[in-house]
Amino acid sequence: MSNIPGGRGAVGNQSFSKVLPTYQFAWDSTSLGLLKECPRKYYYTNVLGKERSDSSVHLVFGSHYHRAHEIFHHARSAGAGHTEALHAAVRYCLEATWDRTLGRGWISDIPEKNRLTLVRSIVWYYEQFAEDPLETVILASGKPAVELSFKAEVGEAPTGDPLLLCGHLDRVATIGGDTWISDYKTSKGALGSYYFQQFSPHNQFSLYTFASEFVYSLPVKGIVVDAAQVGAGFSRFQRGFVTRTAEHHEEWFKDFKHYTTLAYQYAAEGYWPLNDKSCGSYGGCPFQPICSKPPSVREQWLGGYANRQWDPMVSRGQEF
Amino acid sequence: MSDAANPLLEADPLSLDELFSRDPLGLNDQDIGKIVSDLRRQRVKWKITEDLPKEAKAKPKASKKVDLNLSLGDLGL
Repeated sequence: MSNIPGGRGAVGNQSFSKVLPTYQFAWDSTSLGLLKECPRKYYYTNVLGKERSDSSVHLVFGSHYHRAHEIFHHARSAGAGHTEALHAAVRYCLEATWDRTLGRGWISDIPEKNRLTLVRSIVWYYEQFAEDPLETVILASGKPAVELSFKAEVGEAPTGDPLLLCGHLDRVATIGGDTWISDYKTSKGALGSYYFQQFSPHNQFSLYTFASEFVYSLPVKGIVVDAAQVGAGFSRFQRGFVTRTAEHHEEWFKDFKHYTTLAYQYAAEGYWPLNDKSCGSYGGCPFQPICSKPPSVREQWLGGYANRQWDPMVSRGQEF
Repeated sequence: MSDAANPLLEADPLSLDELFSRDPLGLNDQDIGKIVSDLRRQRVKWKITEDLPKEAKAKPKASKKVDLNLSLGDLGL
């Protein structure tokens, strides 16, 4: 697997070991989730640094949606009123989705996720939650606890590198005297109890609550999920509360160590097995066209994929 | 008709589509406010339907009965 064209994604990626360059010692929920889903998909994505060249509309939309919320909360904590903060978030959405070179807005081929539905979702969210009992925690620095990047050592990797947990919390907030991690999700599908069931168990949320409780001694009740169902003509919101117990955390951390040990074994052997039961999950794996080809010709086809390095060590917001 | 008498020349706020098609750096606070208030109005309209009971939202089903006993005479030509 070492002769894949452009397959040097992990080179220069600080989350990978210098001792064994295909072994990742700094883990975030995205990396761990990929490994759990399919070791081969993880290998193509994280070790080789490959992605489909047409970047996902869902990713672009989700990223702007999160950033707009962040701007709103920063503005509010800086003293701006509700409307002023909302205008700042709307202005961000419009500017971030405007192509200066082409002189036009972002064109999406998905009717549910485009410039208008992005701005509408932000405006409608803050209409529904205009009187929100959830209050953003203000850090000792005086800044709001929004988009917090964390990096914590939780052990030693087999390579001798520190075993790290990394991530980004959307927001830490209080409600009724309890502290919660607040997370925004967008979906095309319907919301309801069935939608919220998917978060227990849930790799990302367990990592977040584990990190808060055991690494930072910040006792959080769990995650407040503000889910948005974004349709072509509407944005519907529902708030769900997802809790974790100490036992859940213990189990999750045991699994985390198990999976990262497997990652070391795959890297040492130079072989990442394919999980053919997950090819159709999440709308279909982007590497399914590669894995469908005979192993002897797969390498040449990876050249058609774009290079992108996923490095959990890169901080996205304030250090927590 | 003089300009003053022409009602079409009165302040004509831009539509949502027009505001979205403009370079956002050229939008002033009033434009952003217009976008927000238009979208709020859209939500009010949507909420009216959203809050209706399910039965009231359901579209009436078309009758499955179709009278196929037609002749050219029925066209009234």
